[in-house]
Amino acid sequence: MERKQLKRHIKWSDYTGIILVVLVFMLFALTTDTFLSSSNIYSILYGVSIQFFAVIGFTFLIIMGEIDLAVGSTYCLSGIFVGYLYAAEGWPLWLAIVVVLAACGMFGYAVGVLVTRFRLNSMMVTLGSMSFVAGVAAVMFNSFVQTTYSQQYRAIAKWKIGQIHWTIIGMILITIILEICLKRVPVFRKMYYIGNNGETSLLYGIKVDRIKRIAFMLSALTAALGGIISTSRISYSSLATGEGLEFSLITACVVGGASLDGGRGSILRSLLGMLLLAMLTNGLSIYRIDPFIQNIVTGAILILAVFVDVRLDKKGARA
Amino acid sequence: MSEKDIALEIRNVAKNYGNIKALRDISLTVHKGEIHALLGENGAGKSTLIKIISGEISSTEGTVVVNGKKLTTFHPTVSRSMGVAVVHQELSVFENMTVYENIFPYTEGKKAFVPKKKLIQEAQKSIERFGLNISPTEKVSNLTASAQQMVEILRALSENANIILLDEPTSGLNAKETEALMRILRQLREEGISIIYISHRIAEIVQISDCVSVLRDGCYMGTFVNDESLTEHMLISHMVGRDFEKSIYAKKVSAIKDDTPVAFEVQGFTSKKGIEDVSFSVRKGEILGVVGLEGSGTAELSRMLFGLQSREKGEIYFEGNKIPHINPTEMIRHGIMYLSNNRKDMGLYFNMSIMDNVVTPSLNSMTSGGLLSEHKMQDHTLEFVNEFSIVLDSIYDKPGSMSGGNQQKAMLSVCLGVHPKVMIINEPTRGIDVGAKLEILQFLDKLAKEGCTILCFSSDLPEIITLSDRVLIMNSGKNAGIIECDEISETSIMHLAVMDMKERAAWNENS
Repeated sequence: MERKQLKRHIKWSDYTGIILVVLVFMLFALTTDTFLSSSNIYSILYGVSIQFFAVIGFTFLIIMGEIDLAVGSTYCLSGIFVGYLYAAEGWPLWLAIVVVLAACGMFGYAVGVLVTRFRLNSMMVTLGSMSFVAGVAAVMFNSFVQTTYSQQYRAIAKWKIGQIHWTIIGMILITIILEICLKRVPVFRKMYYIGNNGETSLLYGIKVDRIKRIAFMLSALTAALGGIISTSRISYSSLATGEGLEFSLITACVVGGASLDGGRGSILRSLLGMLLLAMLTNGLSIYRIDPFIQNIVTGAILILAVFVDVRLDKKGARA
Repeated sequence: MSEKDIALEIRNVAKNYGNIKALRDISLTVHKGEIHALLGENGAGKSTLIKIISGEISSTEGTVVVNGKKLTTFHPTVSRSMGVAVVHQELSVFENMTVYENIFPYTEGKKAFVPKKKLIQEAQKSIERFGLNISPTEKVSNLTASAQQMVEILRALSENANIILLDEPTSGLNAKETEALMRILRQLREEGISIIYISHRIAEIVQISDCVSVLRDGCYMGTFVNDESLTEHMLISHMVGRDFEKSIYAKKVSAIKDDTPVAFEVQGFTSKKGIEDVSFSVRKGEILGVVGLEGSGTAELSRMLFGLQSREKGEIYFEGNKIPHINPTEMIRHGIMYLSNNRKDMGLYFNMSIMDNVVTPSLNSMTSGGLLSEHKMQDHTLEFVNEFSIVLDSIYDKPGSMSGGNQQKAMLSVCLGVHPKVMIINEPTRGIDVGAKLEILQFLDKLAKEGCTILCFSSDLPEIITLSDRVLIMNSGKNAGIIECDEISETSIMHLAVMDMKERAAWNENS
């Protein structure tokens, strides 16, 4: 009898992300010559591995039904900020990075306080902080002479472990670790409870506000980390860094099966979503398709993903 | 009666969900101007039947004939246009809109523009028709639960429905409000409107209905005309298929000795609006019932005691020590737990599995080596599934797959998972069937005997009388008195609950 009470229904919606990634991969692999080359695949992975940092904290927030629209502008600011302290002010690089990460983290925490203490809508608050941070980035950008950064700053993104960039190895390790944490470590698991029903979570003693504030901090912190590495990769600061990142992260999370209502999503799923988007951009470029048309495709994929997800979920619920 | 008098006819209706037969071969007839009660335990199929009539779900077999016309498509709009209106168990008002906007939500499609003034007038008319005291321009979120319920009923009537389905309309109402509702229903009956009335309160059904149809496990057990011969016991035995000896409620004999140490003491609880200087203490293993009419502050007090609502003043002492911060996390850490009266909004996670739900407050102890153990969580959950004989398919299903009574048992399991020393419970048996109700009451009694201290907030007087060692009565936000076990009766409780108010009303009139 007990065995019967333990049976599980397969939820197809759990697999939409991976199925889409495989389909798109197959499509490009079979129809183009260059897509499957190891250098092309590697470059996709490397590109994703840097942006990946920004999706870590962002995903935590999405799981809890919150959002941080300031990821893109934080991503932009952090690289400039480090450049300013390091190149213009002459600070040691490590100290500049630590200070910038701490500053961004504190700013994220402050946003978290606004959202939790004063019950403000996070989309509205971070719409404001997005603009705020972007403004700070622009002012800072104009306050010192822009050049290509020195070898030391540029080396961060290029450091390799064996033959492979550290960011790729980091991405894989972090994904594995956080995936296990989200499933099996209570404090991470509680994020799903919060996302499903914050009031109920409060009732059962989950420290909803504290967990949210920490997640806002992490979101800013991981976005800043990604931004620093990204700046290091392109070797100079640019106000275009991280432009529109918030929307591609939302797309990635949703394609990966998250819901903006909260309660769903995971780091692996977000990563799958990012890989899907990166493969699309890459594959469509191989086809020499206009970047604007790529936007159309990305948009269509997002709508399709949401649609398929809802359909499958309904079926799953009925079974 | 002739064919013409028939408002609703259900012929051989069946509903299957996969292999589960929710309804089998139901046939019944509702006449015009009749209050037809639908009775059955939870999971008996009452709500399913209501949803078929209102067009929310389609039937697998059989036909539904409304006012002489066969329902061919099952859709809420279709049923509504044929004169069927529903008032659901869970309130579904638009909280951020005004009363009149709630009463006339459907008018937009028919006419391009109806002047606001006219709508307000119409709303006022329908409010006055039933002698209610609600302002049509008031925001619904400012109304009490019972007034919101009335607004829902007025909405149903605004569509000129001649068949009204009421699903547990009194579950959120106190005795006085229930009486007001009964009056309205009788008035509607006089006007020739048919009412299908679902309730677990058998006394109420016997009091108001013309006839009673009983469902059990999806089967039709018969329709009984409500004349002199119909008794509560008879109905209960049809519902559960067994005879209850005497009343289901037995008066409690308190076994709490006077020298039992105090486990939970409340001092000077005061809130900005409502609660004034409430103090009391509860001994270990004691069940203290807390009752009061709606608006007396019982709901507010229970939320304040667990830190779900802020307080102006007041302290809680647990086993003699002051609890420094009153918030849910701290309270649970001290071994104090809260059973919510609202499974949907605050109580259960309807998008997570039953197992995920049951382990919620115990997550931190479900680990081995820092990681959550699937085995521990399964064992923990199955322990409660067996203890309460919760009927479910799989613990990996969502709570929505269970009946209300089983959901309630699941929610109780969530709370008991932390082995609480004090339980603050709210409406432990609201909206669930007699069988599950008895089980839960027996369990709470056993729990107290094992040493758990219980504060039971309930509007169900018989339940309070069966459970409580002592009863605290709230009146206008104040502690109106505590009745010792041997003096507890419905009259002694109601006396304290209403007395002060009457005096006040008289005083107001004179001044």
